[in-house]
Amino acid sequence: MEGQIRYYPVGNGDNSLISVTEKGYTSQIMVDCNIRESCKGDSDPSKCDVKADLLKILSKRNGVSYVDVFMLTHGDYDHCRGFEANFYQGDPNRYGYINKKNEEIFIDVLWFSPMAIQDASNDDAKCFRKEAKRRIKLHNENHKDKDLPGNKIVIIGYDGNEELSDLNVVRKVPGDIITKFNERQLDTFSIFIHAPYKKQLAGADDKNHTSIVFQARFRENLETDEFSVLAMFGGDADYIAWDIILQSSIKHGNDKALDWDIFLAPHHCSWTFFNECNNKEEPKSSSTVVLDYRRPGGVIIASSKKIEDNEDNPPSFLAKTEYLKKLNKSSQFLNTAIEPDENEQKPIVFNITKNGPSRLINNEVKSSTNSAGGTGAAGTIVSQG
Amino acid sequence: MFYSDNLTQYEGALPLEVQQAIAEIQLYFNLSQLIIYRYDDNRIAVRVVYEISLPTRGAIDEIDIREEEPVLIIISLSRFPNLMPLIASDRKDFPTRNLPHLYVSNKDAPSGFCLVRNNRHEWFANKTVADLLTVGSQWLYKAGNGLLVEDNNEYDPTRIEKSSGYHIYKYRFLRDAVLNKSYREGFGFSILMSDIQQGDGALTYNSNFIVEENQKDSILKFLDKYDETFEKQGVKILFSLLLWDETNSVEKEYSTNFPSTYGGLKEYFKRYNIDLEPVIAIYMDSQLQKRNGLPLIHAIRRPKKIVGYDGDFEFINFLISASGTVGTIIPDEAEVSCQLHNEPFNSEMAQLLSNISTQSPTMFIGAGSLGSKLIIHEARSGNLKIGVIDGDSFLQHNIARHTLFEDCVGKNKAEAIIQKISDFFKHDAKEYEYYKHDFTFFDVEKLKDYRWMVDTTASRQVMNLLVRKNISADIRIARAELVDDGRLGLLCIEGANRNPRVDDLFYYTCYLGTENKKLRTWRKNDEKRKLTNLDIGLGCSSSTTVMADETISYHSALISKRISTEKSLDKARVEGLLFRTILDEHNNNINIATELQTVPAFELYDCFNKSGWEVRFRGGITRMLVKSCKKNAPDETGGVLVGIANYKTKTIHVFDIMQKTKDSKGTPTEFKRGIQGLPKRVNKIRKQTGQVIGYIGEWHTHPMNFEGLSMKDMDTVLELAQLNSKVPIPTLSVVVTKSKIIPFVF
Repeated sequence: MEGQIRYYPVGNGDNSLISVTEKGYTSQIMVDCNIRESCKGDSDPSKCDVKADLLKILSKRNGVSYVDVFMLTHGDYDHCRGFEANFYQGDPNRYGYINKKNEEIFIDVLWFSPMAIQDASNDDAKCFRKEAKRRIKLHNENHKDKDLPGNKIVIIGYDGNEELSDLNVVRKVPGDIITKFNERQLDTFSIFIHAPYKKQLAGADDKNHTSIVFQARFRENLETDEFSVLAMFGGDADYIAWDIILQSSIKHGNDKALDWDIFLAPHHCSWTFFNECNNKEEPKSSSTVVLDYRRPGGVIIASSKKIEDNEDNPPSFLAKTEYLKKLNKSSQFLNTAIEPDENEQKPIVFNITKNGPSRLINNEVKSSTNSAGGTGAAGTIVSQG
Repeated sequence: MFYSDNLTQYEGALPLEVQQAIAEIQLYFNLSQLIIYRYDDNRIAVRVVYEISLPTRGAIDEIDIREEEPVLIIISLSRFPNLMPLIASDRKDFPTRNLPHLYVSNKDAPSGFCLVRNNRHEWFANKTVADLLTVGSQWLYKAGNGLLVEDNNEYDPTRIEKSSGYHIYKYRFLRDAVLNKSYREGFGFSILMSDIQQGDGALTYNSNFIVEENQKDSILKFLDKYDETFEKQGVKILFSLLLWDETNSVEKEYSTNFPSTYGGLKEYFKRYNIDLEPVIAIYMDSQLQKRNGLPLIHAIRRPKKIVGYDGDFEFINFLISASGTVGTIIPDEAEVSCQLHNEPFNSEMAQLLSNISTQSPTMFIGAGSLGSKLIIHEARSGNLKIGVIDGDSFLQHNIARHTLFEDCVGKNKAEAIIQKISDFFKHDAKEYEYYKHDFTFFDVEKLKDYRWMVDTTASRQVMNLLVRKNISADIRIARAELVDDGRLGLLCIEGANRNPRVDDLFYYTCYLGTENKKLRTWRKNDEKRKLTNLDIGLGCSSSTTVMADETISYHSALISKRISTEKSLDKARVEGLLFRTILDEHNNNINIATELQTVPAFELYDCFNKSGWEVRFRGGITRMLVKSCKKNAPDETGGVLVGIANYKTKTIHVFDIMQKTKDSKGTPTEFKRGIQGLPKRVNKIRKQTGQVIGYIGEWHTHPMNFEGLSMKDMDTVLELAQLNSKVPIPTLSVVVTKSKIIPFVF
């Protein structure tokens, strides 16, 4: 098995890609997107061109880049920005020349919580909702094309939504372990669903309460029960959601589902993981207990803008301070905005090894015999004395 | 603890390039200062610390790679930047024994990281110091993440930093030797018969035969008898030792240093449970030491298959330079050096390097300048079943364009080239054979194990023999020839079941002069061509064409490639093939091109009047004839046939037909073929084909399906026969009914 997780530097927002190669096929699972048009191309070398990196990394089918799964943890703008412009929506049979020219990424299976088709506060969320509803309709109608790549769905969490009431066959709920991705049964990778809970969905007025939370599990092979890497994806879940996750996991004997080697700090290193914003004195014990499930050497990732010693939230400097208390050394806390260099951001990439995640350092070796790219200085007026 | 603890600060001046390199190192590691150590007389070293990204729970397989790794960067004072600096761990406890891709030195010195494949100095020629440092960082990252061996199921062999010469042997041969019985029971060793391959500088040994104890005396006696002969031929025989641990234990760890003396070698073997002294004593007592040098191979069983080889034994090669001690005790201070292993060139390697996966047994007719090149290409691609037929001797003037060299002058070409290619594959079982006579005397029964036959003689006689000899239809025959003073290379490959045949294809190529400009030029030039008579000695001359060696090489390479491609086709081609290589030199420009054309099977008819002639129509012609018959019915129609007749093979090849002329007249019972415009058209074809292809017969239709010659027809045939006998050509008259073709040849 080969595996990798890429955490993209997208400011305050989430954009991650999980890759698992098994039997020669690489399953690619994208979690949220925050693709900013301003970061495309060479216009700002300090920013990472997320789309360009995705197009480089993603597998292609008939020349079209695709993901096996796109999971939207919740519909906030910083989790779905760029969905409309960069991902294909609509009948998969109608992906045409223009879509290919625009390099629209094809989504085989769409994963979302019921909340994603209720409220939509921004254009990209609306677009996502429209695409989800299009696919739901095919499934409700038992349309012959409903299981085509580009029409498939997985619903994460309970709901009282009538539109989804007949779709339990494609529903996964907290406590479920998913081992099948895009119809492909994987031996070395699975996902444990923590949230959203039924009661979260019933009365949620804040999408952050209803975020999908899951633990990504990697293991060496089918024979072992030991997980080589456990990565926790918390979306924007706040301390209330985490308290429920903690209590419920313990209650149901799912303690192992709380372990982590990589912890994606919820809500972009927000204080809301620890407590209410108006109570910065005391982190909730349930939140700090969640962090105690860290396995040796575990790292925390803040997918946010640069964390500075100020009152901003997110990212919260105070939250970072709390996180650091749980780590052996400061280098185990990684902020996407400054990796490897705030002037030249690149994705934080972890390779999956049997001894845990190993940060990939990708220093390119160049050549000592080069000429300037493009016209070089020839395109610049140079004054000489 | 650290190697740098024992180094002193360097106080001399630094060359400018070295100063710049040190500045780059400081910049890379963000250091304001660096201590420069004296490493040895010619080198300085600086110590830096890499920060290494490891898995969260530590390095893979508990290898002691740490998040901070101190290294020494060792730079030559006199030869930087021509020599790449060496990066080596400064830690004395660096897990050298557990890591591949390390240079193992033979002294107590840090082991350098093997950072790049092939020649590291060549790699560095195009890289900066920062690049080198990055690769050093990647090496340590891979070491900590279990990625130094790309495939973790294989064991990477030891990298030997200092070596002297090579020992050539087939890995499998030695692996099998270890798995078989020892020379003497109770010991783990074999005696290998070896020879010295090179006499200059570092010696290279070649081993390919195991001497068993009961064979020893007869072999020694044989060597004594022919010792002088061998010496005269430059063959230097000796015996090597192959040793292994009889307990069959598996050694996971790498050797970190190799001995430089015989005393050290004995200690080295002790670590592997091998007592060297009694083995050497048996070797000496058995009178096996023939020379001062004693090559010795240590077989170490590793936990995994060795990268690139078919077994789990790693072989480390030593050479004891026991100078002046033949037959006496080897002193402990005798020098010992490491040798590198070199797998002998073999068919498998040849196929791999040539990217050729299938081989077809091939018989070559002709080992001249073109043939020899094709044969060499074939052999170099690993074909172990090759035959060569050639009755000629290799003469001085052949040196200009032949693959053989001056040492073969006077030898038969077939024999000489087979000898040369046999030397390629000393360690392979091969079936190479040669026939020192013309193809005329060749017994085709000998072709039963062959699948291809390639004629490069450019001989019409051989072409005729290829037709007349009863060669199996399972053999694919190719014929290659360079024409038009090297401007054209022609390759014809017969179709399935020998149809179209080489003669069909050759004459059809001539006919194609009517539509192909290059072929037309060749045919026209050929018509005027006179062979150059080259004086090759008193009373001797050889007919040849003037053509540079590179011209022949160009054509032969492409022709060989085409044949190789055809051999590799999953499904053998049914049609015949014409492949042309073009070399056009004009106004000091050189233009090259190739042309490929498939030729469907010819339609074959034995003549109806049983005169022994066969008529071979180019595919599609008979259909045209039948169509004309139907179209003109109820009237008869007719015209002339274009082709060539070969009395030697009693074959008429028909490539085209001409329909009735305007002044022709047909009735239901008679056809009068006119002449209007006909001579001009035929003459044009003659000219365009170099006077080779032209009028060859008559055809006319019998729409009432009479399958014979009428009285009138017979009269005409007799008239024509008189005329044709002057050329001479046979008289061909083809009767066409609505469903049949009925040829008559007189």
